[in-house]
Amino acid sequence: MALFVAALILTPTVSAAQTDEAAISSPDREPPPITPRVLLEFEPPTEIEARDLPNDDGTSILITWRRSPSMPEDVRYTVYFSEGAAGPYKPLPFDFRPVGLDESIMADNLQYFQYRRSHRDYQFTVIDFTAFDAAASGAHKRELKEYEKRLEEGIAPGPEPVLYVYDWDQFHFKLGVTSNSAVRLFDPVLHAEPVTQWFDWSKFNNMFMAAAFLVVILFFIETARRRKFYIRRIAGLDAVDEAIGRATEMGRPIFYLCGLDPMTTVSTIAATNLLGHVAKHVANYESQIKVPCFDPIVMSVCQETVREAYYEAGRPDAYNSDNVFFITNDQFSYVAAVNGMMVRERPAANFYFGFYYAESLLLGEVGQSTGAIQIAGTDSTVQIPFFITSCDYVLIGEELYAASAYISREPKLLGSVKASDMAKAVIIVALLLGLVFSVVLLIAALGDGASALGWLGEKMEHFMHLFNEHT
Amino acid sequence: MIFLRRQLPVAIAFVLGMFTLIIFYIPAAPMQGIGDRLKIFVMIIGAFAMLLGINSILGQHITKIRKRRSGYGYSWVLILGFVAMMIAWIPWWSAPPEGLAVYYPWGGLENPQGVFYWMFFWILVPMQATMFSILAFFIASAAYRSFRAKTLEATVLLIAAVIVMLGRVPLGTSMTSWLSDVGFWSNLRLETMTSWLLNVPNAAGFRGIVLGVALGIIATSVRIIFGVEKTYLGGGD
Repeated sequence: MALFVAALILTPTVSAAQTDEAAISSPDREPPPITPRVLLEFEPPTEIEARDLPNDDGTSILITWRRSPSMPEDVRYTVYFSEGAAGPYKPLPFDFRPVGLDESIMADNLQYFQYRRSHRDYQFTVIDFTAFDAAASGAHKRELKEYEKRLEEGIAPGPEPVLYVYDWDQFHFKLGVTSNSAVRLFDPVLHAEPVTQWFDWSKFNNMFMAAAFLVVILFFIETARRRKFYIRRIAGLDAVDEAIGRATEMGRPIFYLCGLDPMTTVSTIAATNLLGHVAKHVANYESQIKVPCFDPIVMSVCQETVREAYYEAGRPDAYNSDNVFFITNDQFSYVAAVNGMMVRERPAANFYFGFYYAESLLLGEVGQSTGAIQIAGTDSTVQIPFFITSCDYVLIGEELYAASAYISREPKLLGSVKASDMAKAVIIVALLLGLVFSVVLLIAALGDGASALGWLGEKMEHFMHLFNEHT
Repeated sequence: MIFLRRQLPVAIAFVLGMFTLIIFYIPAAPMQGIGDRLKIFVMIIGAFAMLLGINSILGQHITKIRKRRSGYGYSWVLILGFVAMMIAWIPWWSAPPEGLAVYYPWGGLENPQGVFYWMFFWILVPMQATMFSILAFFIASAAYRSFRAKTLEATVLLIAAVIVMLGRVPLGTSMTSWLSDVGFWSNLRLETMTSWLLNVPNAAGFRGIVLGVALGIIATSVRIIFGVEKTYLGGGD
């Protein structure tokens, strides 16, 4: 018993002498009677640093450290804060974000994580200063509510609660470890000021590629004015005329669906672009087109598009605004309504363009059962197989975006399609280079490794890293 | 008039399109704040557009009832359902003192004793589930049509589908579990073949489509921002 008591008294003294570290306290701000040995018996993490989080809006800092190789599994890292270097250090007033490893922050800021040495040894956490303000605001609301409740009940409420405002410049932090509500904090005291960034350098490669692609598109659009471009045959779009002709002969309507996504989605814009061309053909053929819409904004755009198409075709009298209508923006209610109309009205042709979800097969199969000729076009990779099984023609992915250019044969539009092809060619070349390099490096690895290839091997490795680092 | 119908929308598309593109690269709070405001505009426009949508659907069905078109009885069901849900949702009674669970006698989604709650969870949700469950039968019929081995491609599809289907269920994997799980023979186990089919040829095709889609989206966006594509404004180019 005496030995046990002596151990209780001696343990914190020894630990303080060994670690020379500051506060040891529990999250409820009361010093624990004993710091468990488990928190004292391993080497502390090293290279603990704080710095401004790069490429952010000036509200966060980044704390990085090299993890302790001997830390037990049931011990977790934590961060304590203080409004002044001297302390006292308190737990964060919000949930501590778990340490990330394979996150974009790490991938975009490899210089902080010594990627080439062993990035898995380096860990980090992001401290968002706005979370302090949000926590203070939440606490203030709760106190105010309690204050008002006391006022209503006639109990002396005390002073009116005041919103606490943190001074971001005075924030200091300490990295620590915690286990069973006991905490061990490590030196040094960490301090960094968040700085507002006016350019996100992690997106520089993205901007460079976008700018290069933009130049290529504008170049081909300009070239298209003088030169005729060849564009390969797209069977699904060639069949549009056939489908409209069939509907005219049968005296049945055509159903045109723009998908379930809102007007802010590019595939929906592509679908409405295509609707303009289809509606003009329908007007010329004196057939009837019906556009049941899932989104009211899409409905408004479609009404305008179809109306203008009828005007351009010289058939404004044939336009009926009731044929472009809103149903609902509930997925399966929409499907039930459209399927019901298909079964009742037996359309001669169904067009499904835009973005679809689980309803793709429900629509396609019911349309198939009514004997309609069906043409679909979607960039939803998950739904493409369903359309392929149930439709006669399918525009796969990018063909939907090229459709407007293909049907109109407008040189300027064809120019942008050609630019996409050029970009694809560049990507294919990069992929082929990657394939060749990886095979060469693999063969070299069987011998003396990349060093056997000299500077060429290094360049190859660098090329491969360019694409691998961000995966 | 041409200015209002053509040039002004194209100018707005250019200015806002370029602005949205630029602020993607600027993390500073003032710029992101403007971007957030623009997103709120979209929500406000959406809310007003919903009124147009309601006008459209009610107008359609009221006309149908007035002209006694075939199936006009269903239009009554739609209108009555619309009105009933709307009335039930409106909190007709003022909220009771704080702390009580029931805020409205029979309105509001948060009240499990309410009519709206009852109609939503015991009429709408089961009907949605019914529509979704039909998918299982349609998948079977579509699979039957696609997997008929009439051509070489359909035969390859059939074989791949059978391997993947068997490789994803315990009964299927047990058929080849007697093969060694190391060495050459492990490649003939159904789960290994399934993984290879999904991770190699399937993933390659998938990525090819995604690359094409991404380039197509950029090209279409550029066409709209620079006013090359104006079909969405109505009519031709």
